[in-house]
Amino acid sequence: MPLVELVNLRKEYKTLVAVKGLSLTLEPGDIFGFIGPNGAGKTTTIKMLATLLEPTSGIARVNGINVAENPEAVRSLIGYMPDAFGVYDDFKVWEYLDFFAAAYKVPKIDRPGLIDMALDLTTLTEKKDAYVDELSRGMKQRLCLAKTLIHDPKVLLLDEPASGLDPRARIEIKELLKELKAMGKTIIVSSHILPELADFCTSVGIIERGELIVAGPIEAIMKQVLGGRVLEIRVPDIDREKATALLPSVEHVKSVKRIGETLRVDYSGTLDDQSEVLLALIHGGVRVQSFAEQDTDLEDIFLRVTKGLVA
Amino acid sequence: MRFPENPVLTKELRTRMRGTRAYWILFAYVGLPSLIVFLTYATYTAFQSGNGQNAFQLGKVFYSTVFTIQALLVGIITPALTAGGVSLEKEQRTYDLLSLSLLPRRGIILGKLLSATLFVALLLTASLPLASLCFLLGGIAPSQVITAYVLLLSCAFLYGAVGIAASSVAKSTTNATSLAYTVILILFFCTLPLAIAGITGPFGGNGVGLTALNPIGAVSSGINSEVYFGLSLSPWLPALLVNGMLGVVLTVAAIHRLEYPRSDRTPLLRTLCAAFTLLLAFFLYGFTAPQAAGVSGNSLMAVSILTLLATTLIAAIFATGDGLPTSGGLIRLIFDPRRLRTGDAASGLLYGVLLVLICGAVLYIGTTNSSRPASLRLVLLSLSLLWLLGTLGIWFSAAARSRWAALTATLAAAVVVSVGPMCTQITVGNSPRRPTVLDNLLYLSPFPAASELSGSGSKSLRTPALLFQAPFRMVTPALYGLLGIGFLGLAERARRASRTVVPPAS
Ligand SMILES: Nc1ncnc2c1ncn2[C@@H]1O[C@H](COP(=O)(O)OP(=O)(O)O)[C@@H](O)[C@H]1O
Ligand SMILES: [Mg+2]
Repeated sequence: MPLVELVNLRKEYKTLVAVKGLSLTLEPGDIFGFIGPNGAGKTTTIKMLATLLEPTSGIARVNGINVAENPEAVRSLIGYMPDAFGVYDDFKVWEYLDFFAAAYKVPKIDRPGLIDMALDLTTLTEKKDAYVDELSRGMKQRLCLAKTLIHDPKVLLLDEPASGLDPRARIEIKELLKELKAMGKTIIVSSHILPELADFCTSVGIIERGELIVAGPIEAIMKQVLGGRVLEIRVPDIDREKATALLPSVEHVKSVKRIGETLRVDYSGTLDDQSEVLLALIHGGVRVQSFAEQDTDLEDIFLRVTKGLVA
Repeated sequence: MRFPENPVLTKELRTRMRGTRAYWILFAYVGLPSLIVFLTYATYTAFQSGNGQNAFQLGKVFYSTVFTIQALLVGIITPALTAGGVSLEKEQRTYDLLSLSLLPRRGIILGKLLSATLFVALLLTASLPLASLCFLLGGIAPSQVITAYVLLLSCAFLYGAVGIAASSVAKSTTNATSLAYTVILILFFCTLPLAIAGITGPFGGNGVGLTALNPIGAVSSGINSEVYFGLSLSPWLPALLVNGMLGVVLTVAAIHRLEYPRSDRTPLLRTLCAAFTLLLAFFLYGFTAPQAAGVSGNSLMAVSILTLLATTLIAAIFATGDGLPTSGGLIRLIFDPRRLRTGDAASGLLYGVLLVLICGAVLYIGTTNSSRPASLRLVLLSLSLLWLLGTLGIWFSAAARSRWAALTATLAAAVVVSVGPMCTQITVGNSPRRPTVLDNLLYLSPFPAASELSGSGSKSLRTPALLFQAPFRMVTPALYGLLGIGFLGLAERARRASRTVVPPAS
């Protein structure tokens, strides 16, 4: 049984359809990166999953439990971190965690230990007795993460956990997410920026205007979207014309583009075939300065997939 | 037995006393009455020569001063403590996380309300030394002081409940706060005449009841007794029951209002409202209705005005809502008794009928035989008014699809319909007014009909210009009936229109 399952999930606001029939399944241990520009419907989807919004139609299940039918049961399974949240004034860090532990019905005797553990994980131990509103933005973000962990949920829903943070705090959040991954949590993490998620997600979904455009394991998506590799070839000025003419006739080359000093080749062959391109160039008398496979990352996928669709 | 833990209560109590604010409130709460008591003492001694008798007098003056000021302070402080309860959490963006936890909704509301009430209890405790000054001087029984404290605490609960209900309804804390203070001012000034009557002695020979509803009356009339349908009660008991019940109704309404996933508490809420209506009907009719001692036309008028006012409020509150259900026939939506469990405007009309019948039953059973025909006619008139305003409310709800717009419009229409026609009767100077066609508007207002309820009612309003020579009490209900049918037609049209506006799901 999948741990998280969305079937044709749809949310309509008065005049606007924010999420249009979204389907998705996640297995235990998956880290799902939910990527899309602002206003794409990430928060709306996550909130429906978190039992904060009622879906207009469709089904969302966590651990087999329908979110709309039994929200109470789902709530103990999920830890939700909103994209924008506040903290109580006049409240100390440990009191904040104790409050939520109590609200999640964690037995009184277990609380101090759990609080210390959560603080340790989020490296906030020193701030235990500090007032919450005196924390920096990054610390508040980590405190909120600590709060989502306090009742040991199976699924974490993190809505833009690193937004608005400086680079250092971003890295800290990333490290924290890696630790959570190591702990075996299933995580849905959203972001409008890709590199943020690239290194620790097992799968990603790109959402735009309420529709999931592509979803799946990262490698599979790369293949699906790019259909292969991109080769970057650098040749001297005088040979450039020759190379441009010659390349399209090589097997598996789909297109050649000149970008500044380099030629960019979309290549659909295997890694072994790739050397044929270099061979063909050299046989053709082209002096090759460099020949490299371009690092394709999520950024490219994102740009390709969402090209022209951004509102 | 262990109390179930309420984290919200713990949190509120913990943070309430942090910082200096709580201490300033405490300081002001004790300081202000002390200062005024001191000034009272100073003026008192300036005019009186001291002897033993005067100490008693002074004790009474102190008592009423100390508790009247406290009553006002409780009224000012409590709603401020709770009016941000829900809305502030939303504004600070802490509400989502709170509502996502396993805390039940009632835990959130009750925690907030209880912590505010406990804080007021603390303030009341702090005023004990001042109150004991009254004992020192004599003239005041300990039971008086104890009832005063109990009633102040019940007022704190009620005002806190008003605040938290406003907070769960309003969009912002500013709105919630002004809504709460408005409601409390209305409650205060509506009950003030009773309190004053309780202090200065009854009006016009009839007994007065519910004198302790108002906190001012609560602290001053601790030793009187009130008579309801021949039942003699100490004033604190009815006050405790009515204020407490109203507080409970408002608290449940606040819990009911918290949004998705909303556990529908309509049946509970409607049952509580019915119980509150019964309670209020018993106490209000208890001292205004014609008693065995003697039928008085004056008190019948008072009963009529009370009943018609209650009917108006019932129609405006229950027969309005955010639009109507789009499926099913309108007639079935309104008259199907199974739909009493739902909270929409259409089912509110039948529920209103139930409430008016409850009032009617209390009135009928409570009054003397000779005034029973009049009470029956009054119930009939009320039901027709309910039909008129209820159908109007349903129409407004279907057209505006906003509860607050419909409620306001219905109330406004009620005021125009009942008071407007009476304005045509205003005469200037001594010259008798000449009958005009406008006199026919009188059929629209329930008051001319009400004035004819007792068979011997005045005929002064009947002028030759009227279309029908039948009594108002017959024409008016018939007119209301017809108008109501018209409003239902309009409601159905508005409902159809709103159904087609909704964009088809693509
Ligand atoms: N309460 C609401 N009422 C109406 N429209 C809303 C509401 N919340 C969000 N939206 C709209 O729904 C769309 C999706 O929003 P959101 O899920 O917050 O996007 P994201 O989190 O991907 O930035 C946006 O166009 C937004 O304006
Ligand atoms: Mg968002």
